[in-house]
Amino acid sequence: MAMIRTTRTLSTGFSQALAGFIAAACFAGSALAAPKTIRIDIDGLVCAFCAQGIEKKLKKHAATDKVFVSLEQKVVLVKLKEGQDIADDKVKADITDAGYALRGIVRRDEAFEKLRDDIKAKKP
Amino acid sequence: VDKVSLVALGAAIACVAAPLAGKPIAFADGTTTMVELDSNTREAQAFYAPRHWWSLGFAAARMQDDARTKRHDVEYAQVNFLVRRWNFEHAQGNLFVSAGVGSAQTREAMRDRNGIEREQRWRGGVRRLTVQGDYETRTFYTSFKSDLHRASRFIDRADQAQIGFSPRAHDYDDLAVWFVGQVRKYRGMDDKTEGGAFVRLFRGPFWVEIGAAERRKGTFMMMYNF
Repeated sequence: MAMIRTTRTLSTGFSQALAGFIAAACFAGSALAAPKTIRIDIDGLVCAFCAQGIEKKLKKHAATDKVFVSLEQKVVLVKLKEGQDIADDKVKADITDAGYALRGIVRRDEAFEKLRDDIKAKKP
Repeated sequence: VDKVSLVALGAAIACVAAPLAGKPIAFADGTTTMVELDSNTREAQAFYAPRHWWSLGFAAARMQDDARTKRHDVEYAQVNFLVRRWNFEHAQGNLFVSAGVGSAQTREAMRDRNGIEREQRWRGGVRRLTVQGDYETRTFYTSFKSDLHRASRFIDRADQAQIGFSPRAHDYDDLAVWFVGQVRKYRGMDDKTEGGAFVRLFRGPFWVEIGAAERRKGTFMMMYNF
């Protein structure tokens, strides 16, 4: 009887540990999979005021760490805070509410600084 | 035929085109302040834009004729609308309409039948209507503006067309340098057409124009957005 109880206790403990491990793995996995940077392609981005308005909008999000605007490439990069994100519909609303035409949103796992340097390097 | 019509329409608008080429709306939740000084006009404006397509604010202007015999001081509340924006991959076009109501004060020096100089003064309401359009890429800029002040005592109108270029395509963190030529036609206080040229510099929230009009008249405009 005592042996059965011990086996059940061990079994319950193992199940809890396994569930805990899976949950931790999932959490870690989602944290690793979270994008670091959002790349936004925009039409009509030709002047500093355009850039200033979009930068101001995107910086209002709690998930935003940094914003980089390239008039040359018509691209905006948003550096996300670790484990945080901004929903596509919110990004889209920011761009259209600022008066510009959205061409695309891409989430990238690469570091903001690397993408920024790549964009700058394409300057003539 | 359509292209020819469009070019003709654009040229006609440009020919009809007033002072201050700064935009009355910079961006949503943004405040725009502008000051313009030239030999005929001193103007200050401040606007707040709740959305990217409209802004509300105040403006004050002093307009004088070349002979310095007439002076119109106007102060008004003004609302600005972005009627249409065209976003292209490498360009942007805008059409703004502004309307204002306020008060005006005029002073006019006149000689009576005895040749004695007297000053006539008047105070009353004034309305303002402005239509403004622009098209720009990172190296080419053109705009028109038609600005009308109307009171029971006077009508002042200034139509302006500008064309400019930048020798280098600037980016957000660069100092943008533009060379701009303009033609301005005044009707009302003075009836004249005047040419001018200036250098436009902007970086981040600052926009400055320094130049000269005909007869060695200096012009200055500054805009700051935040």
